Order: sequence, then C-alpha cells, then structure tokens
Amino acid sequence: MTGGGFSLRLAQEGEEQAIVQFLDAHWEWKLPLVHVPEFFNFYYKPDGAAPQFALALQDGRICAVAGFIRANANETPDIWASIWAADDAASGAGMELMAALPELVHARFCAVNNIRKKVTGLYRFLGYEAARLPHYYRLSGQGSYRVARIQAARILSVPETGLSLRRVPCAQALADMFHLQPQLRPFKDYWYLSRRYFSYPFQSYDVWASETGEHLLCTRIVPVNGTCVLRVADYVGDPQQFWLLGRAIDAMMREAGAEYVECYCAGIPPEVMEKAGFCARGPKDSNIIPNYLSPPLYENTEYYYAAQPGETVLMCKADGDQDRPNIPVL
Amino acid sequence: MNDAELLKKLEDIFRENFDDDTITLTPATSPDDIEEWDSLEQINLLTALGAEFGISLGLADIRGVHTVGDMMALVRGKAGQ
Repeated sequence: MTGGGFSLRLAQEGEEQAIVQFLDAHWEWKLPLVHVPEFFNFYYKPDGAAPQFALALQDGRICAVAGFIRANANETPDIWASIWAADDAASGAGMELMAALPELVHARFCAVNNIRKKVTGLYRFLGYEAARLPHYYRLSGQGSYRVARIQAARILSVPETGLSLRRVPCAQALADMFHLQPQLRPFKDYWYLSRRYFSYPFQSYDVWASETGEHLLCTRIVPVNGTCVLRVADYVGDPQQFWLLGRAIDAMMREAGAEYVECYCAGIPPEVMEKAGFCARGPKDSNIIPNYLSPPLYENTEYYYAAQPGETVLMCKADGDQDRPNIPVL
Repeated sequence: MNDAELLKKLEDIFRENFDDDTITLTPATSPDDIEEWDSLEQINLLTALGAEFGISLGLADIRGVHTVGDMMALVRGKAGQ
C-alpha cells in the first residue's frame, strides 16, 4: 500500500530492532513499552510472530511507526492504536500511516486510549471522534482521607439491585461465567480478556462476573499511604446497565477498606454512573482524586481518547496500552 | 476575496493557533519560519482553515501543502469547487 509517496505496510518478523531504534531516535524518552521485554511481547507479539506495528517507508528507510494492540483474535480485529511516531523530516508520514492503519490490519474498528489533548485534532481530522475520558469516583464516606483531597464530599445513594458479583477465579472459568458482548466496540473476546486480566505482566487484577453473566468487572486494589484505593480498570457489559453493579462495587470498596473507588470510562452515560453511586470528577474539580498512586501524585489527571464512530463504544482505563506499572528504562 | 485579504485571514488563524500576535505571514512562510509549526500544528491549522472557509479537507487535499502560499491555493481551489 502507498500513500503520500510513502510505502505503507505491516512490520515483518525480525524488524523489532529497527522499530526500537526508530523510536529511540524519534521519541523524547526511552519507551518502556518497547524496552521492557515483558511489555513488548505482551502487547505487540501476542502470537510470537511479527511485531504488531505498521511502518511508513521511503527509499527503504522507516519514516513512521504505529504500534497496535488487538482487542480480539478475529481476522478483522478491533484494535487500539498504541505507539505512534514519525520522523519530522518526512512530512506527512505519520498521518499517512495512521490513516492507513485500520486497512493494513484489516481492522473492523480502531480506537486509541490516553492521547494528549493537543493530538485529538489529528484523530478528528482522520474521522475519529475524540474527547476527554470521563473520570468518576465514589468516596467511602470516612471522616478524613489520606489519598484523595476532598473539599466537598458527596456520597450518592446506591439502589439495591440484588445483582451480585462473583469472582472469576481463573481464565478457564471465564467462558462459563461471562457471556461475551459482541455489540460493544471494541469487542473483547475470551482471548483478550484471559490474557489481559489473568496473564498480565507485573500486575494482577480481580475479575468479577455478575450472576447473570452479562457483566464483567476488572478491578485492582492499590495500596497507598497505609490505606488503599479500589480501581475499576474495565467494564464489559451493557453501558446502560452499569448501575446494576453499584451496590456490589460499594460493598467491594468497604470490604477492601478502600477510601474510594474510581473509574475512567467513556461510553457509560453520566446519569447511569450517578445511579451506580459514582460522582463525576470535573476538569476543574476542587476534589482531587489522584490517578498516579505509586508514589501518589496529588493532582487530577486528564485523559483523552479517540475512536472511530460506532454504536456502542466503551473505553475504560485499562484499554489499549494503559493501566500498567511505571517501569523506568535506564 | 483578494490575496491580501486571504493572507490576512490566514494570519489571524495562525496568530490564534499559536497564541502569538506577532506572527506575520507571506506566501513563502513555512514551518522553517515558525518553530512550533510541526505536523501536529499543520493539521490544527488546516482544520481551522477548513472551518473558517467552510471547506471540507481530507488527507489527499493536504498532501503537498508546505507553505502559506500552498494553503492559499488550497482554499482557492476548494472554494472554487
């Protein structure tokens, strides 16, 4: 495939080193995603063959790279774009490559998590919808907080729905306990869910399925400052039904002794989050719900995302290459 | 709209985008002349240009747009369609 005078193709087996060298030359710092082998293999070589990167070349020289992550193992997968870098001297290479990425991968749907606000314009130009990733939280209601900085505490009531969550003990139990949700974009299959939440390097998750099997919740308890925070990393289910899990999530927070539970998520209407007991944390909110906890950084963090238009786009914190530990590369 | 008026409108777009009222454009102005004008800002400028002149721009339209003069030609070409 060509575009704008560049040759555009998927990376081939053995090109990992060339990709890493290009990124080292054209990124501000050494990226853990490509320099930490566990990350590189998990995200970009799930089947051990060619690295999941697309390349733009000119005269045989790499001018831009775009990594991608599969949300399912289908031949026409839903994907997240991940690392995206271009040689400034090769004008247009980056845009041509990102425009071609879905077609190169035969992707049905493409999105990207945690982009800088200033980059949202690029994705909109390519036909994506780009927006701030909403942030929600629910306080435990304790008298004082060691992590959150609360100016005005608001504890919402949560309806008793009778819907309980059962822990999914292992990847093998997923298919029995959870029904896939093909209406969602991206569509996450058992292959993705098993790998992401039962085989993720450096970090473990608690995985819960509703008793109806129609809802999956993936959480982490993060110890910090002698207490802990409950983090909702992913929700897979009907966005309109998230509220059904509110009481169970509240119980989970109290059992963990967490001072709050928080959730970055786009695609669940704010009124549904509120019904689930979650307050929206605004961009200029006086309440501080720290995102970085190890070590804690006492400020609110804004995330942005982009997605191709779709009926039921659901983007959560752990999507794409996000919700991973900070491992510095020396 | 004559060239001077078109250039003035582009200058307003550049000043707004870069938050710099000292920017002065000629048709020859290029990214070599404005430090912050990178590929990202190129898209932001072209998006603003499209909104200002009510023209829809795609990837094929922006290939070969390297200078302010190229932008002026792009506007004239699209507006004339």
